[in-house]
Amino acid sequence: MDKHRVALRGASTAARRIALAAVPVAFLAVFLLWPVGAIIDRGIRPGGALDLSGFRDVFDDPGLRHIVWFTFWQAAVSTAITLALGIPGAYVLSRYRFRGRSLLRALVVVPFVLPTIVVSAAFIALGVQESLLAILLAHAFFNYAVVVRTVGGLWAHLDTRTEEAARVLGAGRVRTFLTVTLPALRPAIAAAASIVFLFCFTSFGVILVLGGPRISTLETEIYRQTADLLNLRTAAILSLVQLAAVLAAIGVSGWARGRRDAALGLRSASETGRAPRGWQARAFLAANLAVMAALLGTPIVVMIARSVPHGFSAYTQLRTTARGFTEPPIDAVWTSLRYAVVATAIALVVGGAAAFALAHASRRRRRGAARALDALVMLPLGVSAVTVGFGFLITFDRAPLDLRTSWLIIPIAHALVAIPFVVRIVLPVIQAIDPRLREAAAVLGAKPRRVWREIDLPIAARAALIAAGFAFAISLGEFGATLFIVRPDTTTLPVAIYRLLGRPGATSFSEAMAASTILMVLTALSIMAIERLRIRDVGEF
Amino acid sequence: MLEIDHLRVEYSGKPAVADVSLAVPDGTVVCIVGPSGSGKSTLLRAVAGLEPPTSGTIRWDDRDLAGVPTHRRRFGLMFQDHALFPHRDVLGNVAFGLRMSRLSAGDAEARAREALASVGLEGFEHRKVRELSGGEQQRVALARSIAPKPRLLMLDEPLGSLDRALRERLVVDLHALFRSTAITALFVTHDQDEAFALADSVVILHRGLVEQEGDPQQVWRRPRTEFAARFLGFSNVLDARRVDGVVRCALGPVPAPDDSASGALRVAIRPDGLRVADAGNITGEVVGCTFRRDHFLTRIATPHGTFEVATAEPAAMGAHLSVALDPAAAVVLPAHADR
Repeated sequence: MDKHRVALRGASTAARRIALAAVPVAFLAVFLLWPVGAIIDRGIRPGGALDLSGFRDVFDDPGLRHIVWFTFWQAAVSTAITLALGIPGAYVLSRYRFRGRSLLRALVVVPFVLPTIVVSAAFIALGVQESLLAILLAHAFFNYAVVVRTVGGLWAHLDTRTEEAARVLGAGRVRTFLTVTLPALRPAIAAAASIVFLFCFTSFGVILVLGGPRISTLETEIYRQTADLLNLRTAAILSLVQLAAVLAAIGVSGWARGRRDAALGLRSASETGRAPRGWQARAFLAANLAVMAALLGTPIVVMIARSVPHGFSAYTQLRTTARGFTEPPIDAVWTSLRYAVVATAIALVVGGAAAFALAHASRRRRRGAARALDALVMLPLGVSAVTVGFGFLITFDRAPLDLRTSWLIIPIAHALVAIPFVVRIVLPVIQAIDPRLREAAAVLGAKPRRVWREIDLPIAARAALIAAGFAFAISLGEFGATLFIVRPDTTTLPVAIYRLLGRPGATSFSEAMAASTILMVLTALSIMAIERLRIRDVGEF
Repeated sequence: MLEIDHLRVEYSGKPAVADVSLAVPDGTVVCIVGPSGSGKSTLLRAVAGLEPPTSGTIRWDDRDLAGVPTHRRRFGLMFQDHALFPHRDVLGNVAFGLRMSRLSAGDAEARAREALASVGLEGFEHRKVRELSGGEQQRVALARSIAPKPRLLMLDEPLGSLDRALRERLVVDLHALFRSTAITALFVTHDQDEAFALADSVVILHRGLVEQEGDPQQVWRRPRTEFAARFLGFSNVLDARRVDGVVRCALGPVPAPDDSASGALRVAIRPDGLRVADAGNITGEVVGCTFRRDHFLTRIATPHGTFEVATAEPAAMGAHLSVALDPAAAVVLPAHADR
């Protein structure tokens, strides 16, 4: 009788767990696998039968061939520049102790969370638009923080005594760096480089806005083929090329990171930091601070300055509907906030369910199931925003799921982009929960569901709040996917900025700067809310 | 009353608990001692319902607990390293079990405060558990496990991670608590001092089997197997024979209990059961001497093996000394008792 009841309870718990995993699986199957499948179908079976001639046509076209080459090239050069500027910065911020360092560390991350359209607007404000240099600098601006955080994070904990040992054994500064420090940093540098390369490879907003009509990458070309030339087949084939390249890049980066050297002797950061000593160290610090100020500070400051050429008229101007617009740009602010709330809710529900399901599967050693689900929820990271937007455009325009007239399609696309981040923030926290806490709760009389509510949920809740802040910021700034599916009467703020930037005239320009400043402030607020919640005793993010 | 009958618990085919039977009568404190890996913690986890038994039964007041999930057993378990809830303050930790028993929030809080007071932590209610010292955490964990008044309190190495001085003080506190509340408790330690100080009955566990159990004084004085003897500090073990009713070893005759078999036997002696004599039975060379607070432990290598002898004064390395036996301190064991 007792055993029977236990078995019944086990069955209902199992059903709940399956339901938990079903939420992300169903969501991603419908909103990710189906659209990607539709792109593949359109690319290789244009008439219903297998036909790969489209690939030949694309690669026979010298213009398109050039675009594929340029996409790789600009990503590689952007990555090299970012590493060259970022590695010294990482050293300064992780090894030197100076006044204002923790504030500077926080500020350096700001560009990374800024929407691409704001970054583009900031570089236009500098007056370097429609040039390769602008693109490369904007990519460096954007990704500087990735290098500082990833490489600096390791550098701060690297045991300085191995370097001191090398010096005592007779190696010079440069030799020590090359033979001791650099090999130890290699995993972090490889990780940072592969992430930066991926971001630059799939960069859309920056290239669309700063590249002008002459510079194009796979991402922007997919958009042009779709929106301007209505050539959906070529767009589909380019999407497939893009997808293959991105998956290859992810594979290479996984391989590079997998080859970590033997365990490093890591120290607490407080042991490795020291004040800069000697004029060389101080000059090195000053040079790096100057790079940070010039690269990261100037564009933002100039953008804000150019939003107020004659007081705040550009901001008030946002309330009026200009010619060619169906609503005043200020409405886009409310639209974006509304979408961000919905997108955050969707991302938290789907990502949270995925995180709990993944944690449970790995606890029960269901490796296969865990790996499959993990790959599925991480897939949106590999599928570029443009692919998502294009896939949505060609999938949800007819029965069985016609979302053309539903505003929900945009928050859904935003949530899709945010889900991997939610999972990556929440999952480690759940996995880090000491299993004995659950056991202790059970011994004290909590039944399984109560254990979940009393232990897992409150501990995960703080991580979920942090994830919510990220998801909100991601939704606010999402540009690539939105541009494909946005309706003219309900424009999001990034799309409104893009349209304002595309209009001639000084007034429109100031308005674009004003709208960008608003978007930047909103993003910064949601990220700052996160920073306030970052509390050490639950885990570091 | 807890009764464990032929319990076996396996982890992926390997028995952590091989075959254990024991009972904890109401109002008594039973202590399980054994080296690490002997299955002590697994035994507690099985009683708590956290590990399913492979075979055997666990009963409480004649009721089989096999179908009763952990949260319905109303047992308390104080975990090794405490497992305090990091997201709750001290009071929240202690009140947890009371809230689970459907007490009103006010009653739960009042009783949690009582439990905190009983371990001497008044005023700690709203401290974060991470900010507490090891000894304070230990007290919070104790308060948390006793607050719901469990039918059986289990403690897994309750003083394991604390420094020596603190352990000795907390042993006294635990003893007072056990006596004043007439609690039924089963606890586990690798530290014999704790076990003998606190227990009404001691169980020595070795490789998942009960090596010996009984009243602490009796176990301490009369280990019945070579493993138990060595574990309890009888570091000198040598061969012996019973001839014509007299047990003899290399150090001389030893009084034998009547029940010991004849033929090959073993004799175990603690270092303080040996002494350096002017004319002992065996002479050997000093190969080591270490200071042990109230005595010196001198190692003397002889043709019959190396003996550990407690001496009042340090011995010089290489000196030749004779070893004599205090016959009353020797314990006769069956030969080949080591499984």
